[in-house]
Amino acid sequence: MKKRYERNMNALTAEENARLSGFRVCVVGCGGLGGYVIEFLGRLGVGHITAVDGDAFEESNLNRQLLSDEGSLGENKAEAAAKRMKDVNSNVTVSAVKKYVTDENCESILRGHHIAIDALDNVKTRRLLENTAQKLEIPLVHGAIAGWFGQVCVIMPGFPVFDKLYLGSTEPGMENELGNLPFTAAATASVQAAEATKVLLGKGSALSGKLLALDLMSQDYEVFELATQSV
Amino acid sequence: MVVTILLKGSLAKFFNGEKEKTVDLPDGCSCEEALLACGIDWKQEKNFGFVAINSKRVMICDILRDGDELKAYPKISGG
Repeated sequence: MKKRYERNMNALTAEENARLSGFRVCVVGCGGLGGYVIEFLGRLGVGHITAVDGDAFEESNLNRQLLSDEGSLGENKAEAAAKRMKDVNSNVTVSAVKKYVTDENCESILRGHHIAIDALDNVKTRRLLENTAQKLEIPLVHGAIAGWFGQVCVIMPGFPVFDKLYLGSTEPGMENELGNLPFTAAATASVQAAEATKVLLGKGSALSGKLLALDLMSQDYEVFELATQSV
Repeated sequence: MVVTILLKGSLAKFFNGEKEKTVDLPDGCSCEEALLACGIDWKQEKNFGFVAINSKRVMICDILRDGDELKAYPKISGG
């Protein structure tokens, strides 16, 4: 075990940490959530991360998006993720996919990964991602934020949830009203990264088929069973 | 029957910022009817997400019972 992972012990066994290097994780969206998820999984020792984002950094991202800084405005977000991880952990390969996920490319982007991370910012593409992950039987770790509020759900093959969470809507949510705060992004991404790690290592997920709703204003954290019915 | 209704996030505006209200409702009232009794028409609220009774995600037409806690969550989709 390399010394760089020494402080992962004994929360992870050496064998578990070594296994992480063999996993492929697809992080879709490299903004507020995705930037942190990539950072956490890369530092932890996940071997390969595919970073997917067609967007470039703009000034309004600077309040929360870890991969952005004043010098990177205009730079593609996926490319920034690959650059960053070279500096943070050169043992990790980050493949930058500088594209938005579409009906045409989603399946080819996702195929071959052990798990996918939903770090997107719109319901329409989230639904596409869930449908594709279900088709390919890839677990998907959903995260979303708005203001002081976040949510995380682990979506295992055979158990889609977005019909229950978003009903028939593809419209934006409360984030249009409340914006997105940096610590909400970091807290929500932390939970996503933790759940992804457990799924990869076969430790099970406390949020499989459940939704964790985080409220950083009142520090209220609640886990919901997601019913099988939809509204 | 008496039901406690909690509104999360931006939905709290319907209670003037108060997090919860205890309301007296007719027996057999649905979640939708309980919210309407508080002036909340979920179909008209663009940020409406989902409802839960006693921490279980349920359908909006599900029936409440005396002592239940109904929570309404806003839709969240930012990243």
